[in-house]
Amino acid sequence: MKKLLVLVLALAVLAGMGFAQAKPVIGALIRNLDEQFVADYAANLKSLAAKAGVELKLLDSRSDQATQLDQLNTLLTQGVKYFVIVPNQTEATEQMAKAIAAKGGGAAFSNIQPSVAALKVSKNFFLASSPESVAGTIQADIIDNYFKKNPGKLAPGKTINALFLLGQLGHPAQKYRTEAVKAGLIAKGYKLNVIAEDTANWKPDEAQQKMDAWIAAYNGKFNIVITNNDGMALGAVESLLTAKYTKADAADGTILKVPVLGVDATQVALKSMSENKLYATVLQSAKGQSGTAFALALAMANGTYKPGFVADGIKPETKPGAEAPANDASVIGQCYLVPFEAVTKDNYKSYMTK
Amino acid sequence: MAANAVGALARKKGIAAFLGKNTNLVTFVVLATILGVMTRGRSFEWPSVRNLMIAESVRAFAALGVGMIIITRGIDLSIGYVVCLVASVSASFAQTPDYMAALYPGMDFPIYLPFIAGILTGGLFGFFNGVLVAYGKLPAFIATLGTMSIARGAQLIYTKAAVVGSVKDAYKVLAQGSVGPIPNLALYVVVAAAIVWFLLRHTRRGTNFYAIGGNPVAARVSGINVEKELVVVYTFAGLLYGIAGCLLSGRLGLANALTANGMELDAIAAVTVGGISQAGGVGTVGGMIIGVLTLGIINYGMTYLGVDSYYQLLVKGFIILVAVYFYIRKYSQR
Amino acid sequence: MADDRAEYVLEMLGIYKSFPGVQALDDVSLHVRPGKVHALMGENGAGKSTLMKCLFGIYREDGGEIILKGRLAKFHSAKDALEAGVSMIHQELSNVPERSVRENIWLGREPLHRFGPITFLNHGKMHRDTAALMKRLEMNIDPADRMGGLSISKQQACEIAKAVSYEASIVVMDEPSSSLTETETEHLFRIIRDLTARGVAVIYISHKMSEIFQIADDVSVMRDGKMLGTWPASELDEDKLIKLMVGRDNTQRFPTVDSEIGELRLEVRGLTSAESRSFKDVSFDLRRGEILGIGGLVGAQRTELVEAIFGLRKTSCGEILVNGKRAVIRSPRDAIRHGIGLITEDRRGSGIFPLLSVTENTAVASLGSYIRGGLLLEHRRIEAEARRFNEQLRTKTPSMWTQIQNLSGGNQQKVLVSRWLMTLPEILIMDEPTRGIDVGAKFEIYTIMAELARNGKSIIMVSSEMHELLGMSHRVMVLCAGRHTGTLEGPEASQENVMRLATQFE
Repeated sequence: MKKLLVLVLALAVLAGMGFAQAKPVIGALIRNLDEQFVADYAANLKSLAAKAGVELKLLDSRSDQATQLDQLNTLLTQGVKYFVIVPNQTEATEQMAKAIAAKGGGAAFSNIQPSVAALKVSKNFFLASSPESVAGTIQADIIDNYFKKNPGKLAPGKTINALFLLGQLGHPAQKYRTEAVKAGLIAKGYKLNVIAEDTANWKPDEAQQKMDAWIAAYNGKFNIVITNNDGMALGAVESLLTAKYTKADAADGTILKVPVLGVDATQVALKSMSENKLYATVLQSAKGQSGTAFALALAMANGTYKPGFVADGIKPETKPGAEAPANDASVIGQCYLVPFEAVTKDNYKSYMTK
Repeated sequence: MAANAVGALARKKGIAAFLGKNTNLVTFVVLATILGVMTRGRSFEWPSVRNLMIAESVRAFAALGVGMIIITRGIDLSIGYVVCLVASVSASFAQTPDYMAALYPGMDFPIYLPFIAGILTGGLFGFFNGVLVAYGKLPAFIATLGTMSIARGAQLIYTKAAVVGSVKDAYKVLAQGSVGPIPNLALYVVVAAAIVWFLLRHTRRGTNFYAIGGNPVAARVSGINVEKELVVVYTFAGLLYGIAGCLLSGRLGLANALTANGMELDAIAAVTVGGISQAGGVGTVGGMIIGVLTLGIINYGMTYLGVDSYYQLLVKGFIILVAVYFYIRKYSQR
Repeated sequence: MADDRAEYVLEMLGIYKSFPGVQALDDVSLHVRPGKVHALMGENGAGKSTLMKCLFGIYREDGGEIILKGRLAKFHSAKDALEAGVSMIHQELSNVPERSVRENIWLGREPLHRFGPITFLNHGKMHRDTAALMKRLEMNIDPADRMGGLSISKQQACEIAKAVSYEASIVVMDEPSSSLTETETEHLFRIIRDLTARGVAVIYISHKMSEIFQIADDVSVMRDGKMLGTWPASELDEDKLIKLMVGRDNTQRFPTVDSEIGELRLEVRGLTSAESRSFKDVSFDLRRGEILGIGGLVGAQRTELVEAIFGLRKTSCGEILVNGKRAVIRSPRDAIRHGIGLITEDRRGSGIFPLLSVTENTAVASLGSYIRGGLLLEHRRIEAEARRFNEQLRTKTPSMWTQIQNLSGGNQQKVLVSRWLMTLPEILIMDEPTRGIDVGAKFEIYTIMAELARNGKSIIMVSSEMHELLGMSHRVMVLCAGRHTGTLEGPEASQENVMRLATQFE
């Protein structure tokens, strides 16, 4: 026991010595590494930091806003001033911004947009994101295209009979993606008829179970399956394949009787697309968002940030748009919108890694 | 044999005997020292201590509640989602009236209402747990598993799965403010711990809790109304979760479906590390608080040192197992 | 019997109580005089404890009246009974081991400080009152000690002190002396006499005949849930009482053990425990058809020895030979493979699975022999075999699927014997085979043992009951403080010789 203690203390001293360099430090507060997008985001941050010779303090809050606040306090105590943040909730961004501003620092928020109030805390806070709702909007665009090409698939009266597989209820990505795709379809003049919707907690196996039950209950009554992520989309695809809910040809882009849509453009999803199973997905660029956010944080740390700064090839917005916070003229210069991309039959190959 | 060992313990003098009886304190001091060395003293500085206090306060309330329940040989798995529901309810009554997405738009409730609503919600769920366990004779594990799901459903229905944000500053300051350098949250914990300490140590009710956990049959034949006491302990714990939820929504300025998820496991782990035996009948308030601080210092230390989050879970698990192992050994020795 | 009504402090009139499938109390009446010791006698399962639990508010009687000091009493819980002046020493220890002696004594009625609506514990008074109580009862127990740290007999003393401290007018004592030494029992009797001198009525339940005639004024006898009557103790003697309890003459207490002793079956050579203060260098052997008794005082390490042979405890040296071949026994599995079975002394603690059925309790040690295709249990065969063994032993049970907890102690013990017979052992170790079993069932267990020996089984019986030890064993081996002090056979095997060997090291 005593020996063990001595050993631990000795290791502790050695480890303590490791902190002696004076590199610029950037804090990264990451929502939850279990999410594919966030994991990709964090991985890209690490490689960018290594390239730039910056010490990156990356912390994972495991979806808990209280933990993220604690982590922020800890890093501020350690003297870290500039941050890249993937927040848990929009509503929490103002409080974090205030705490950072109190120490004279700044931050770029990705993935979940900061509130207008957060960006108003000081000119050193930025949006570097493609808001979740855009993923839903792009899903709506893809669906619109599909039914324009295959009007026979619509139910009478331009009606879409949809099944929705949702992520963990209350999760921002679940909420915003779902709301946006519904709003988008209605805006395009469709009559949206939700046959059934339920959470599958982002999980393929839960999605498959739900889908099994729905195929039994609503056989022939739905003409599309919309999901909040690729994992659940693939679960639904499996279920449809097992139930032989298929047709002979893939003229409309899928061998399934109804198209299935996901979000994320994971490699498995792309492979499924190449096999004419999954119909389409949406790419939220983890690389683009992390690159932009990191460029902003680094510029602040180096003191080279000036209004109008071009971050990783993205320019700040100049005109207020439709969505918060990029709808407020007073903070528009702090908003960097990273584009989304629809991943369909036409372009999916370019996203596949070899 | 057992009597000999106790005798030997009694013969040991001073510090050695004290430490032998308080392995939870030893664990805490050892971990704090290791962290102190690794951060070259920074973790002993006031800002760090303050951060630790803020971070662990809400969990401390949950731990005090479930600690008492475990003393009566029970368990409570509903904590996380009850706190989540309470945070949502309290936040909904504290939203600024001009907030478009408020649950009660345009309503400006008095500042005490969120607290009353939140604490009552917590107490109600605790009471429900207590009735199920005491009169329904359901195993506590199953009863609270059920209420956990009910609380989660209620939260999602109440909030329609949305974030309950834009909480008034006057409400937030109660949780975020300080008295001098001391954060308000820490003061609340001190008051709550003192009340629980008094209850357990100096009232008949507290003695009854220990008796029920130590030997339910003995408690019954000694004329204790076991059912009533169980309802009281679960309700009291529920009130503490209520306070925890209110403070959490004040601290975050919001609540959503993910708030406080998994808090039951943190709280149970903390009190177990603090020496509250799952077998019931044993444990002190000091132990509960030390347990919370021990887990807190592990969290804080690893965050401070920037340990990868996946490794944090691993290390935390190991430390919990080692700490509990030493405690169990202490018991089996006597 | 019944003289003047006012003479009684307690009357229980026509009490009925039934449990699923059992009429536990059938029109039972009991009349208790103040200042007297009233012994309540009967075999296990006769309904004594049930009657007392009705009195104490733990059970609700289905019918009948309880009249306490001339007034109708309705108790819904122990609290009601305690407040009405009835206290009870329970058969099982019912303390809170992790709390102090003083907290245990005053549990549920702790002395309080009062400040308006706020009350809190008066630790000082609690301590002083406990110390005074212990002094009055001449018990040398520190009120601050942790209950669980005390010896079993001191814990029992605390139970007695607690029951006395209620200052009740009726004190029920259910087997209070089961874990007391003779001196301690004497002390208990002094306390009882002191209580009765102050007008307290004591209801005393015990299986120890000698105690009854030493302390009781009145004796009530129950059998099969019915009250046979009440007699002054002076009108009864031991044989009469036993006859009343079992309903037959008790001339022959042991069956004849006429088995044929055969070849060597078990040899134990120099067996020494891995624990320092346990048995050392014990050697003995056991033959086919033989019953070997192991006697000794408490602390002689008899149980430890047989548990070591069964692989439950570690040994540091020595060897065990089964049928002439060296047997390595590190666990009960090994022992069972070598044809050894053990019926433990603590039936409730380490014997029965209370919630499982008779069938399951019987089959649990031999399930391995009833598996088809390496996977599936052959339920039908298991039930048939379990039934066969229990029928052989005449286990009385409503069905093979009755939970074993609903059987009487004697029948539970028969199920345990069946369990081990089903493993087809050659050697059966029985640790205190008749502890807590009533007289009638004891005789049946003895008969079973004799039959087993006649069929060629070898039996080791650990027993603290001298009559049983001498009456049932071919040879008696005596241990004292972990050492084998001698083995007695034939006419040598007398009470005096056993006692001499059992105390040889003291």
